[in-house]
Amino acid sequence: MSDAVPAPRSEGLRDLLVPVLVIVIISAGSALLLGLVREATREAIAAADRAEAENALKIVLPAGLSVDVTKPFTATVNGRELEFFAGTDEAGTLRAVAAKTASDKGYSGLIRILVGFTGLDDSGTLQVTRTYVLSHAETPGLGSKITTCQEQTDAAACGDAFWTRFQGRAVSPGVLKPVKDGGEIQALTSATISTRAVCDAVLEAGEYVKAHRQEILDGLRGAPGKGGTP
Amino acid sequence: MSAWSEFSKGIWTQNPVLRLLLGLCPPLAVTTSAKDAVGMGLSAAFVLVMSNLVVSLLRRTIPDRVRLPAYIVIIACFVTIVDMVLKAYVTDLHKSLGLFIPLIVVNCIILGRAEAFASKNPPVLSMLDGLGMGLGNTLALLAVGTVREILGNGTFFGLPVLSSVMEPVLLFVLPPGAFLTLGFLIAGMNRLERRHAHG
Repeated sequence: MSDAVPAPRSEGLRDLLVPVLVIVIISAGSALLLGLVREATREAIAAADRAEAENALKIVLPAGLSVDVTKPFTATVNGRELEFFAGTDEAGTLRAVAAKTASDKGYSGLIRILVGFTGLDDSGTLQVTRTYVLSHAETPGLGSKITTCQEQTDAAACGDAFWTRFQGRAVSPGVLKPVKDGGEIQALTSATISTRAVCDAVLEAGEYVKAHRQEILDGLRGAPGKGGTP
Repeated sequence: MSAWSEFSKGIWTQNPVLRLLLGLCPPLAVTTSAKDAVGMGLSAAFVLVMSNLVVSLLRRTIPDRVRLPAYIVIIACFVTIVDMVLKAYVTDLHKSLGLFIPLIVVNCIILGRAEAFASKNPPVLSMLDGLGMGLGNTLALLAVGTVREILGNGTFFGLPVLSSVMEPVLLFVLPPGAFLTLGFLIAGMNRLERRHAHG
């Protein structure tokens, strides 16, 4: 019944302005506080990111090579930006490259990986040194096993952990695929999709290195440059 | 109520997860290991104490009709601080908790305590309430995380404990294991409580 509804109370300017003002002040206070915390943690966060990147590169590249995280060679492959990093020996010779890539074909979200390659000479066969998962959102206990034991560099200590299945594999579509799809990579139990996603990313990066080897090597030896499929 | 009972109620009689059944997302989602559970619990406890304090201090300033947006801004501010600090100094934990840290913003324990307690009580009591609720939440997370990690992965805080006794039951680190574990813990709490009530 319409006459049961009380007429809206007329509101003064004050009733309208005070709530707005309070919210603005609280937001401004929060922003100030966050700015201070960000300033205080910025260097530590950058250092942690850098240390993590360097650590991951050292893991995927053969032992003894030195790495430089600050000078990647970037290329766009199938719409995704890949970064390549050089692993150089004491004489300054480029012995291996690592590719930072990702796959969105996982079970949940993006799987970002780092993968190392050796066999860059004209005569050599391009080989995967090993893989390292930088971030993922796969199911805990199933797909998350793509990261099992990956901080270890000694394969003997890791049993059949996922990363060991890529060690020393040749870059070829007949190898870098789950066994189910005609490759040689043993899939993780109940995590074929996660396995396939990592395989795809590794193969894609490997094929790019194979096809654009000289370009990447030149780019990494000289100034960091922009490459890409023309 | 005394200060002690404001603090202790959150741990047992009004445990947010096991008695009030509030904020059940983290106990289900981030309890695949005891370590993640504790990290999550302590992060939420920090946010809870700080947001309770600020909400209580501003309880006469914030107009009633905009209280929810105001609380959410305050809570989001402290959650972002936790996120940045964890990222800077406890990188590993930050990595494994991932998206669930920002999601503390929408944890209903925190908004619930701001609305039900801190907006009506003085700062010290509000902080004690937040601390008690935060610890109660952490203990509940730890309980779920402990059961799931031991049964599902055969480890406790990463140390192998089951290796020679039995094969881990993978189900327990999967979502159904979370529901089962939480259900049995709540049932256990109810039983203890009932026995207590009957003397």
